[in-house]
Amino acid sequence: MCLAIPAKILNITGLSADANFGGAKRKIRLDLLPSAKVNDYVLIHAGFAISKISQEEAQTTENILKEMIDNETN
Amino acid sequence: MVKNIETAKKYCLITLLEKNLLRSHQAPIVLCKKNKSAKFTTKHLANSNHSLGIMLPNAPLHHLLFTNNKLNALVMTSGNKSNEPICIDDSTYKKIGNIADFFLTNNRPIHNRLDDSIVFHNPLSNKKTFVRKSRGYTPEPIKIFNKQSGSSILALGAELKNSICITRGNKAYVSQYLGDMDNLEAINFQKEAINKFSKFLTVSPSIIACDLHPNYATTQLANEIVSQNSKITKVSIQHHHAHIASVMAENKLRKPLIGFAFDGTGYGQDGAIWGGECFYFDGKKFLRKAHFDYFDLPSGDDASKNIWKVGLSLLHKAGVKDIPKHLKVFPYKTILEMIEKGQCQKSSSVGRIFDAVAAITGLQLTSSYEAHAAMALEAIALDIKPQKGYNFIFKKNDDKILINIDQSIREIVKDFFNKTPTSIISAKFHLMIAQIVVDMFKKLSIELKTKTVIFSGGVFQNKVLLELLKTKLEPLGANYYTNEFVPTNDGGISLGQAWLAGNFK
Repeated sequence: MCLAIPAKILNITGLSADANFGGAKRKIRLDLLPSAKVNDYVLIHAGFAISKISQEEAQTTENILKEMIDNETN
Repeated sequence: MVKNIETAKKYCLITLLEKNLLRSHQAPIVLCKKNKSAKFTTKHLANSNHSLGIMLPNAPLHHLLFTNNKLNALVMTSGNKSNEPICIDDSTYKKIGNIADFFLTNNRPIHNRLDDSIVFHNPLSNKKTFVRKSRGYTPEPIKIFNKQSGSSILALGAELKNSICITRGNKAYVSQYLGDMDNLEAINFQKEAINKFSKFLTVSPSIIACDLHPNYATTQLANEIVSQNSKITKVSIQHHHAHIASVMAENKLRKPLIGFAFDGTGYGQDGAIWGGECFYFDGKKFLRKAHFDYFDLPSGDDASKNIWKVGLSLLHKAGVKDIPKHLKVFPYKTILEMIEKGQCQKSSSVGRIFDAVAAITGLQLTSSYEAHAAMALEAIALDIKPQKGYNFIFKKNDDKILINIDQSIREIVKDFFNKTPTSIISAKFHLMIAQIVVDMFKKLSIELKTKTVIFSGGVFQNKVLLELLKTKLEPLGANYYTNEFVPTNDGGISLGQAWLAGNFK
């Protein structure tokens, strides 16, 4: 199942952007959220930004994901 | 995939439950009744089916496809060769290069293969029932034991429509649909799923449950695992016991009850191919109380594709000499000889009986996939309400009751030669099957002093049958259950195996 995960927008070229997913940089699309700006925190689903979120929300989710990953590798 | 609900309503009749399922965040494929007045340009879409599999856009790209184009619907299929797992890298696309004009791919690598889930509105339970449980719904735990267990069980599931189940503590985790285990890709996919699941749940199963069949790929995998690790014990579970047990697990039922398991195939304890079974669970074990009278199954598994063979077999059993012409285009004399020489396996499969009726009436003579003909038979019986079904008798045989439908086969042939529409023959046949279930339930609930009854197995996905059962069971005060958490087809077997292995072995 595809989860929506938070990322921070680093730079934008047209409707493409680079985003930082807790340290990993990936290309994403902004077709569904053309108003997104650099430094915005957004939710990404299957490669597309679907909504903006606050930095606080983004951090909380990122912490939970990190906890899950740490548990898995232990 | 259709643009929205409004478009879906142009093609299908949508119930409130179906609408909610389509719009749910899981966004599964929902099987909805075709709108007969819809201006469908193609009869190539689910031609012999009464329903279409409809889904709404569930990923951003889907939404974009429908927003930016004048599209109303896209016919979609999963990227894999029939019965094989989904292709996950570009090299495997070469395998299926000829099945479509375009391929929609992604630059994100696929880590976990998930098909879209398929559900339908079950008229008996009035809830959703899974035909396939995968994207959006798995993995999902369910509490099946009353106590936390220290041991973890790995149930390897059935040979067809496979899923695996791993238990941890008092919960069971059922995997997504893994496909049919009759090809190497699927077997490797299953091994991959077992590894991923075990790691994800941080367990090392000490009990492996598998089917009774000695030659299934899943049985061989179980044997392999046990031979490599002496601390692991293997438990073999009969297929139809596992069907009933899957419903018991879902509802944590451990009390005495009656269970009907009707499906296409499952290895029986006597080596026959079961599929029309009625059990009594006495609180500790299953007792086979009744089954459809054994008929010959020429060529075993092949008979699920060359269903004309089963048609001939039932005609022979019923003593019918006048074989319909459409069955004589095949080497029928060879098959009849095989039967007369006793060279065939015995079967009580209701799934094959449906196939046989489809063949005898000429509706369909071969199937390209499991239950193909049975579904065609179901589709034409929809909305036809005959007064009376065909005749059957219960015959006592030692401690079991045999359900004999020879008379009905003779009546079907008579109707066929009288040019009775196949839709009416089908409806009368469905009515008979429902009546058999109801009469058997009545008889056994008196004898065994219980009104709790379970229905499980692929035949209980037949909407015509389910509607008939609903009508007939309500006034009897039957306390009935069917699968809800897992499919009632073989996708639910692994859960039943895990439950039995954990509780009674």
